[in-house]
Amino acid sequence: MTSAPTQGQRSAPKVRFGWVAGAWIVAGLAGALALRSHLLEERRELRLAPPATAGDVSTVRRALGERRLVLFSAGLGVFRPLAIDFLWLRAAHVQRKGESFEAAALARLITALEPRLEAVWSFQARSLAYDIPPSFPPRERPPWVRQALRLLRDDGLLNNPESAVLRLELAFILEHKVGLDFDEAGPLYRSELAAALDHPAGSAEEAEALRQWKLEKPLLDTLSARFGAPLDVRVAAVHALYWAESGLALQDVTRWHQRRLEDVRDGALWQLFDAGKVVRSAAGSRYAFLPDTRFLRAAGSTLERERQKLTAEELSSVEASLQATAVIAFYLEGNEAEARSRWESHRDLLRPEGGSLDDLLVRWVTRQGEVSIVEAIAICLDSENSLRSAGSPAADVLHRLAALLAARRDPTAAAESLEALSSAARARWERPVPPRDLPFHLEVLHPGYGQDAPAARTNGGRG
Amino acid sequence: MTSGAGAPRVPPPSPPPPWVGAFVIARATRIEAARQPVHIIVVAATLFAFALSPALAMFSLSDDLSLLKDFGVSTALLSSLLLAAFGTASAVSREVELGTAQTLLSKPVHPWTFLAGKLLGVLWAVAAAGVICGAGLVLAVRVGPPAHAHEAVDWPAIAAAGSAVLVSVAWGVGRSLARAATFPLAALRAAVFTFPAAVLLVSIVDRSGSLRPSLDWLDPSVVKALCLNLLASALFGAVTALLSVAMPRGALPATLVLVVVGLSLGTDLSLLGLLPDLQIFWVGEVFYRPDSRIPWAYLVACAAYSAAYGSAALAAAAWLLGRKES
Repeated sequence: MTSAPTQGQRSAPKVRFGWVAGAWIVAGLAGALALRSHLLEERRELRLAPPATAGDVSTVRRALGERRLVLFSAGLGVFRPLAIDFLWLRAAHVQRKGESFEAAALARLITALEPRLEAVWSFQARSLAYDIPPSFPPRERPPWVRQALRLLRDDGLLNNPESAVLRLELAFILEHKVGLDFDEAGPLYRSELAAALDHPAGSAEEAEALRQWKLEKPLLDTLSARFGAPLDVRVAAVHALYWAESGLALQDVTRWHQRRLEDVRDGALWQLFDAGKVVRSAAGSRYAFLPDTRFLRAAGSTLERERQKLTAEELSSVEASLQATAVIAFYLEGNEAEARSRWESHRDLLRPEGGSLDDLLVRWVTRQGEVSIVEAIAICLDSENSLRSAGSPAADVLHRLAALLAARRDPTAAAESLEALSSAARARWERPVPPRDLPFHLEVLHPGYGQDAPAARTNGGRG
Repeated sequence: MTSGAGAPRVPPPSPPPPWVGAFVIARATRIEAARQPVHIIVVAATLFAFALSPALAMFSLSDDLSLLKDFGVSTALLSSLLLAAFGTASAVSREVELGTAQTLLSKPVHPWTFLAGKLLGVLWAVAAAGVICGAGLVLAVRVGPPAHAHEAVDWPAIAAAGSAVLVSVAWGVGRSLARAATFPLAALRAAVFTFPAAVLLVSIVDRSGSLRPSLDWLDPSVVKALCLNLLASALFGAVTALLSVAMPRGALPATLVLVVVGLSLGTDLSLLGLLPDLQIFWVGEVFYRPDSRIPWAYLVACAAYSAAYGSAALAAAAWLLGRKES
């Protein structure tokens, strides 16, 4: 009987404590939630949050990016550098042994463990784009270059959204590896890129392709307006130009990177002038890239920047190259009058040792004599066939060039020999090994390109 | 009862104020936590990792120092969390399981006082370990990975760090032989002084050994990041205390799972904000961005977050413990 009031007295504070604890828990959690929101906001402002939170990516992708970054960075602690060291040593070993697939997988792991080091992304991308492809036949090389581009564009820039270094690397690979012919599979790289972005203008497919390739339409439009002609995203040089300009637009770009970005941009502008007009083959799977005279002014503007850097002799050589390309471009466009007019107005620059416009065209088609006249005629005729099937007016120009070459070879029987040469051209293309050096980019129209070509071990055109 | 009606009634001793009780419990818990083998093993392993870190950061192609700071701070964070989790789980769950907590709580000690004392004691030990490891990291950053092959090795910093280790170990051995204290406790106590002393020493000597006081090499972001690590361990200590009361046998694994979850939470997943968020305390970014910094106000806000969440967890633990006791 006497215990009842005692229990009552004891339970009263407990009940009170229960209420106090409950209130404390609610207040504490509410305060923590509010503070967390404030801290998340502040982290973004102070740039303490993982950069994966920046950019136009989905919430899930952003969350996954952050999770991976923080887990790998904070979660592994001292095991991270150990893993990094092991993976680098292993990657070097397997690459020496030619085990490219493992090397590529290791590259992904290494960049995941060192996501904030730009040099690591660049190194691994270069390795994928330049070191691995030469050990494969040309037809099997594009996936490696594609992987390098994805590594930089999709993952590298996701983790380093404001990196001028990665933009420079991306632009360089697009301009140098894809845009030029230092790698014999260059036409395949360009062709594949063109196919991936070949969609009707304004269609949903085009929008999706632009999203995948991380190209923003407003910036493309701005660049089109600035350089005087619509940019065709099927051209690798447009991508190189886009990323170079995107890097130059960043703040805090070092002087060195700025110069390199300008160099790549200028190279891309030359490529647009030299091979910026896309012609799709009748089969629809191959592309040719013809000169585009609309970019002549843009390419010419790069000379102004070069004036500071080059000697008078070098500058004269570059100017001659530009004017020669312009003459050939107008000629290929079918504007022979403009070609001849330019030829005459730059006579001193273009033919210091004498010669005619025809001489210039012959030199171009035979690649300064590297290709025999017979072979050049075969190439012209073959290209003519391909261009005609694609409905390009340049087909007639190629026919004229073939006739010009035939006349040079044998002025008396030029017309009669064309048909025979055409057959010879076909026979030549049916050979399993394609020629390495071709005078221009029309070879990609031939569907047999690259088949059964032997693996060539070169330095991949690394500069 | 049988002393007779005439005997004067002795009033029961008035209970000490809660903060005194908490302090007494904290002091005992601190010694208990630091004595545990896992405590000194984690501290020694962390210091060993820091000693190797200048060599481990070699495959970064650039930004070696940034990588070293990044994984150094991450390693310190992990070790702090481990120490807080092990220490609290051991200090609370063992007492709850063995029933000693009930004995203590039957005295005029409030569950809140008991748990706060336990947590503060563990954090005291974790903070001491944090000072040692933090000083070790600062010395490792000072030595740094060589920028090029001809760069002079920072022998003064290496010698200072080596001396700190040797003096601490010698002190621990000496005290242990004299049976004045256990080796881990004595060595850790000594290291709390010798490692900061080593940092002070190298701050007046340059890499070549010339007397040149300068703190230019000391990155304030590293120090602030280490402070954030302690705040994170305080939060996770409180959460471990709650888990230890709720499920004494599974507290440690549950805490370790929470650590992974806390690190994994994408910051956009705000619905999961009810779980402790470790990313708030992770500032590895700051070492890669020259324009990034950690203001003191950020640390204060993190401390407030840690206090708010930690006190809520502790209140829940106290309420749960009170119910168990009844």
